[in-house]
Amino acid sequence: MSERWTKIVGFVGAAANWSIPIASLMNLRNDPDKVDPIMTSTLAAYSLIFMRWSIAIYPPNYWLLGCHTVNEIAQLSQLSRWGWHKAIGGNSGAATTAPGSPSSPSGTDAAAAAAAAAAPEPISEVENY
Amino acid sequence: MQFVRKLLEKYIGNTVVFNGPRATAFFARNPKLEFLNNVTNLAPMMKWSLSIVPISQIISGTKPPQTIDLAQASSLCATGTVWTYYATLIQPQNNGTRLLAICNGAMAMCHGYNIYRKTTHERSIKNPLHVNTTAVATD
Repeated sequence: MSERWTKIVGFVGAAANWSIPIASLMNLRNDPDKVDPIMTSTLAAYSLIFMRWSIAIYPPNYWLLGCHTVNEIAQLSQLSRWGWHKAIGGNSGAATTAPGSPSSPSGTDAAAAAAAAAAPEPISEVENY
Repeated sequence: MQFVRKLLEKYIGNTVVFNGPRATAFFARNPKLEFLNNVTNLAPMMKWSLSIVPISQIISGTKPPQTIDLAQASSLCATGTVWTYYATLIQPQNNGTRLLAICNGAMAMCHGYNIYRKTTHERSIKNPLHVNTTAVATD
């Protein structure tokens, strides 16, 4: 097969691979509680290795390199969001759940609403000063 | 752009993952692990970790056809098909790239089977009589 044909197939493969970073970038808006840390870290390691793989082969597949670079950034930001939520957001969420939970039947929604309500408060206080 | 080119220059066409003095000594001591120091062998192993989940779900039967996402399954099936072909075209044709082709073929087949399961399930909801007769016939 000609090198040109190999490059075309490589481009199609990279384009098909773009579904992974796009899905995780769309998940960036979701609640960090829903991030699966095992799957996300697996995808981050997979992306790191395929970044090397895409230019180690001949002909080098730069489309795939770009795709996996974006995927690496997306997965690491998802992972850091999850870690941030566990380290800091989780504690404040647990503190705000206690007054919120008796009124609302669902605990997670109450925690999210309480966190959203609690977040602007310090800013307004600073503004009042 | 010049910076990016300089950064990539070291890696283009270079299949060795670790080549520091400590890594060289380690792989000299453990020659069986040297297989993993080649990125064309290491990459399919990572890809197996992604495709092992749907395969294990089919074998163990933990994914009923109602929960299958048809769009995701068909996109993964298409990816697997393209990559199976692509792995047979790229230049270093060693055991690693053959493993990559096998891995992607398995992924394409299991997601194709998932599409089949989903479509049969949807058809059975629309026309339960049809499926009942086939079930009796196979029994």
